[in-house]
Amino acid sequence: MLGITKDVVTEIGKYYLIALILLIPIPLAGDYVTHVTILVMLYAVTAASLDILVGYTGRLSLGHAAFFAVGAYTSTLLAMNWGVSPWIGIFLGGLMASVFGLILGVPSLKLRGPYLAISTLGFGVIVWLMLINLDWLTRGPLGIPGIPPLPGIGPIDFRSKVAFYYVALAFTLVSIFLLHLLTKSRVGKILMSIREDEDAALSVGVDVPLFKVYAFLISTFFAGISGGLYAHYLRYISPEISTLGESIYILSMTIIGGFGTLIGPVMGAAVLSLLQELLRSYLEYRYLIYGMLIILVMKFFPSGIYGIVQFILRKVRE
Amino acid sequence: MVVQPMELLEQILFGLMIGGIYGVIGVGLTMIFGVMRLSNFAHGEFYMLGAYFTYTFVTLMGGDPFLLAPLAAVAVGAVGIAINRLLFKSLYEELKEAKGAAAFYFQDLKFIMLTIGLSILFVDLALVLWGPIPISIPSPLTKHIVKLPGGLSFSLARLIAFVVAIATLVGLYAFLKFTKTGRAIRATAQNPSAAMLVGVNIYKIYDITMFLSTGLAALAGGILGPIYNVYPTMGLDVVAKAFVVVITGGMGNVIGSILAGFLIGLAESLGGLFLGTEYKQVVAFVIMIIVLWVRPEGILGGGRK
Repeated sequence: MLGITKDVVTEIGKYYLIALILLIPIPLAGDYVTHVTILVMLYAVTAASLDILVGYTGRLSLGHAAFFAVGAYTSTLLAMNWGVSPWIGIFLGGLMASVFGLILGVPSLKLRGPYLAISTLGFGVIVWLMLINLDWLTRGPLGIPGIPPLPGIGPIDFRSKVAFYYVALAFTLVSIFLLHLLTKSRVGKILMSIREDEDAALSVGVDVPLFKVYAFLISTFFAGISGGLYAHYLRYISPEISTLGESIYILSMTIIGGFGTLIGPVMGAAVLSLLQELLRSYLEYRYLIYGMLIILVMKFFPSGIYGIVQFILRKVRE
Repeated sequence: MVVQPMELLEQILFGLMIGGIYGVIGVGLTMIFGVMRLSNFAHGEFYMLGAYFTYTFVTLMGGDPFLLAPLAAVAVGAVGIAINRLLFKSLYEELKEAKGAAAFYFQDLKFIMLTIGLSILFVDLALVLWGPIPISIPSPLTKHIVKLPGGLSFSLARLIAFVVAIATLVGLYAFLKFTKTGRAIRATAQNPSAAMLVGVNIYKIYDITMFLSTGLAALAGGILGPIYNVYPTMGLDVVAKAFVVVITGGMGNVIGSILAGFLIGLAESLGGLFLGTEYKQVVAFVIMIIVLWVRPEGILGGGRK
């Protein structure tokens, strides 16, 4: 039904196999590198999930951090208040994020351009305010410390960075592979047709509202799961993870990386996270450089880092 | 909860005062959208720069911030023109060439991201230049208390800020309505190619619009500086609200934005009174959601479908 052939699976699959082989030895580089890579991977999935909305469906969202946060809080609260195993809780967190995606996605169906941008922004602010003000549930601005780690399997203890790294790696590769398959499927092509021309898609019988809602459900689900993993990895969360700044950070990964390519947002997550780490010693000048970078990329390479890489590869081949 | 009538009256007055300021900020944003068809996410930063420029002028030259705020507005307006020429001009040309829904969407995205980058840059620039600690622009007027019958009182500074806001809005309306340049701006907003045909230099109009838009935001920052704190991220706190005002009033609609400014200012003030201050920020978004649901073109109708 999705229109994916075996050929497509094997064709895409081999890249993920290469990525897997390249990423397996990372923990050898020490705890710090492992830690940064874990965060990059969680951000990569979130940015790639946002790409389904922004890049493929043509629906700008300035509130994606809210879904990440909903996933994180759901799994955390389930584990801490009802003893639900994080393995299940993280999945339920993804579903809860999808429910929130529905709450935002359905009323905003008809909105376009800046109207949609501001509505999603407003939604993000409302979720943030809820996390701050519903302190009987979320402990308010203090956040929740002491979140239980992923329960160990046999001798494996997921409190260790190395063990968690492989969970995150598996999650990242599987998620992006699934999103990648989605973009190659019939559904993916329909989403792109909505981006290219909504009215034309409508006129050839595409149920545009339904597919827009699909895009929201899928995108927010993966953001929610990333949030859940994040919570059980750092074992501390606060409303800070749902601020407008976070949403903009995720969106800039997607766009600076190269939206509508899926792999671009992954590159964006890696480059922007590494940049944050590298610029850490410049403290107050950090955002000056960060803002400048966004402006330069948008001005001279609107197709993003992915576009730059392709450009260089083409030059090398010639 | 029992609300005293005097408390209610006080909140209504405060709401109207802050509403006037929202109007000034919103009008600038709506003009950019109406004329250039672009949404400027760095708009709040011009408001912030206006406050800091006023502060710097006051410390350098002495004098009252209310007299120096217009000067700061002109200076920030000049920054606006420079940014318009350096960064945005090529986008207008691309936008003219753009065909199809997707091309417009990409231009929108590019511009939004560009202005987000600008916003991040300016916030950090302010942090580096003026430091992270909130400052207050000294003005003797904040110490003059105006007393109204019935025990109501507020500082003269608030009253002057309100009067300046109203005068600015009336002045802007008159400018757009009755001057030749104002007509040219409205013509460009309606139909850029037709405006060009009748001899309007639209790139000059874009410069003027940018100057007015950023200058108005800066003026609002300058006259609020003595009343509220000035800090690097103050623009971020206001930009979302400015967009709410613009959407509620109808994007591109100047009068709509002014009315929406007052509406949101009032609703926030009363919302703070009845719901508690922690949900004050939600009020604006709730109004916007209702407007988008019931009347997506804004209370007075907007420029773009």
